[in-house]
Amino acid sequence: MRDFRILVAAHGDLAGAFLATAELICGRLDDVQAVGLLPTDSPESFSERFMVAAGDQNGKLLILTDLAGGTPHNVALAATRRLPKAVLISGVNLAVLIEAVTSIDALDGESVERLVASGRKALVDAGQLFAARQP
Amino acid sequence: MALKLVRVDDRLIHGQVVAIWLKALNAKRIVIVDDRTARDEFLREVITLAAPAGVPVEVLDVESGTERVRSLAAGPEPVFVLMRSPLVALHLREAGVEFPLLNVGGLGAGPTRKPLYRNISASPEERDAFRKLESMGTTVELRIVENDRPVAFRSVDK
Repeated sequence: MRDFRILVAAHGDLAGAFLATAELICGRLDDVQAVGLLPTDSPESFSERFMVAAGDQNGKLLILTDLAGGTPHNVALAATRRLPKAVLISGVNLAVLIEAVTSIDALDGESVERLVASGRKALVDAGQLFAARQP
Repeated sequence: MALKLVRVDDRLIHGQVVAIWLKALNAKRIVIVDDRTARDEFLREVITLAAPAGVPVEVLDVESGTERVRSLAAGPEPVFVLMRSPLVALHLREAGVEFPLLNVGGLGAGPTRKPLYRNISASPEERDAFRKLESMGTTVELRIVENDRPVAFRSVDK
């Protein structure tokens, strides 16, 4: 059983869609939250919702953002100052989220490395894979 | 004129700025004029990290930023100037830094702000700043990303 919560932060409906889709595959995920940046948000209004979703500021938290340099990511990164036990990974894809909810128990360095590797491994040029299998 | 664009955006550097504007403008340097970010080392680092590698970012307070923008405006390098508030744009203009256009691309909702156009809101004080800028010869356009049709502030200021 994992000892941390997960928060997905992304543009628009993407965060909620990641969570809903992960639940479709893995079943109900009560310890995963999603927070989306709305077109009308200011960084401050998004930050407020982000901190509510983050919950206990001293809890262990894995934050997954959609795009490094985007506003959800920038706000999350700025918020880590108030979340001493949070780990932030950008560039979330479905493979990373599924790996996080099915295969990681703790937020130690090795697990975080494994998570990042799972996301990279999921990004492939299928044509090359296919070509490699041809005789 | 090396100021490729002066933009008001409360998100400063983010996806629209990096993916669309920087490429469209071919700007080689970003200058952020914002007291709060300039005076907070951690926030300065966060926003600097948001820029693509190879594009230098300077984060300056309003006082030193005004002088820096003035000198960059006279140089050859294409510069993209970002600020969170229209009041900073007005300050620059009143200090004698000239720019023919102010782009407004992001002002989120806030307690004193009312919607202006699409997702852009402004407080009465911010509207006043836009009006003063216009009276000084700077056109204020509302345009979120480069390929949006620019909308004149005048046409939505009612």
